[in-house]
Amino acid sequence: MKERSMTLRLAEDRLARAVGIGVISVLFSALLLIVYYVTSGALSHFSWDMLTTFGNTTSGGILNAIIGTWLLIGISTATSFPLGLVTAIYLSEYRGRLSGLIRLSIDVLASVPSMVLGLFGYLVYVIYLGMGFSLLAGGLTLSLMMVPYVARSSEIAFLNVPKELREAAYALGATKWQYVSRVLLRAAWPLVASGVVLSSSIAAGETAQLLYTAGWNTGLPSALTRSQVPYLTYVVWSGINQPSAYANGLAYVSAEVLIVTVFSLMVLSKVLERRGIAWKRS
Amino acid sequence: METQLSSELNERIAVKIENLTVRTRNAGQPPILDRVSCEFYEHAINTVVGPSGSGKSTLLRAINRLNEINGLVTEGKIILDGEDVSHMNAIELRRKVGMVFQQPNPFPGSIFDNVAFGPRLHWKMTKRELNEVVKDALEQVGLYEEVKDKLTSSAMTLSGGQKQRLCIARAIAVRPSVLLMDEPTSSLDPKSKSVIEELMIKLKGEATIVLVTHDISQAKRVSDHVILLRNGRVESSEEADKALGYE
Repeated sequence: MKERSMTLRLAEDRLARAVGIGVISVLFSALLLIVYYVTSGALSHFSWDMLTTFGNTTSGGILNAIIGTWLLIGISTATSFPLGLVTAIYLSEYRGRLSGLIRLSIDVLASVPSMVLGLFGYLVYVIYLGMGFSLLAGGLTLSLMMVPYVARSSEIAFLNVPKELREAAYALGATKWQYVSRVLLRAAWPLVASGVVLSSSIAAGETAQLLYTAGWNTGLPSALTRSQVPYLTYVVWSGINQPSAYANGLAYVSAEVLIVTVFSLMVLSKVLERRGIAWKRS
Repeated sequence: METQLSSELNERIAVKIENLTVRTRNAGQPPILDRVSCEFYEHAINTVVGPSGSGKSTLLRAINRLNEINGLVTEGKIILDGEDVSHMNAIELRRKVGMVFQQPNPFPGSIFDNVAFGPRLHWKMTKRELNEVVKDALEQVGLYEEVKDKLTSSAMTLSGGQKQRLCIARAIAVRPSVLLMDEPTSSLDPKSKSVIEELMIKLKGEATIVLVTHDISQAKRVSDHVILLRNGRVESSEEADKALGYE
């Protein structure tokens, strides 16, 4: 039996470490470049009026788009959360005959391109159900994208709940639903909430689906249906290609607001995730 | 297996097990418990001892049918209060047969909510009634004075020994007639272990206790009746002083 060279082993270790650092550096640099590029563009065009007034994509401000984006996040979260949560409860606790089919459906839904989801939203919500370009049509289309994320993250959250709690609840005479409602959801809520917030942050940056379903509005929607809604990614998509420097500026500022929004949601998601993990360690 | 017991214990059988076999759904695997027959006696600490993997915990979980949630298959009979537990409503069975686990496992929530969990499942109570039940259970385990000013605090703030006493309070709050204890002190420090042992001796006046332990010295300290399990079979079932070599 021949002993492996210690020098070679240490060299392999150093090489693996160097490759890891290199890859992380590339990723981190890309992120820094994006933030730098967008932030410097936004700062060079920024004025407080942009954040405090309504506008279209070539003049005025983006306050309507900011509010519209949050309205879309609200509708999509409110509709995807119960669907995703119930799906996760079924998959983790009931595990019926449909589990395999449901899991496959979630995976397929997660991989459908945004453009295709947008087309579906247009044909079904806007045209067939008569919602028109609207907050509800846009929100429901976004929720189709969010449901798989909510379901998967919630299922993982439930799997992280110690099985001893299930045994303790059943040993006291709880039914399955009593265990789910009184123990499981209570134990898992920080991680479930973390997953919901994370999926909301992804939805905040969606464009393709909303182009087909939300329309555009220089004000705010007056109703859930048949009233178009403004959103930030539209300003970015539309403004960056305009010849007008002001429109370009609106696009940069919108992009910066989106980055801050998504970053804030990600931080909130991480805080909730840590709370869920801290409980488990106690 | 002939049970060697005094006539005093013989008259007060709380749980009778007849030809109990527990196996996994995998047909090729040997059974976890193989035709086990034994009795557990009322108002006594009935201790099941044996090496790791002998089926002690599985035997315990067969009594309250908790093996079902792990997909194990059970054959044979377990008689509680004259009724076969397999014919009983599982929820009602588990109210009558409480359980304390090896690791303290309080629910997320307050100390009060933990103890009130069982009573809230089974009974409609006024707030006053619930407060009384919770206070009574905590007093029985000697925890009330330590926590009475922080009942709304999270159960996670308690020490390991306190958590285990809380879990015992949670189990006895529904007034079970049988209390299953699966190595309840194995994760505790010696002082907490001693407190729990004293509690077991006190509680046997209220309920039949079935204790699983691998700690022979603990078995000597608390047991009235000892069953030795090996490879899924009962090797002996005797009064504690005979089984554990007392003088």
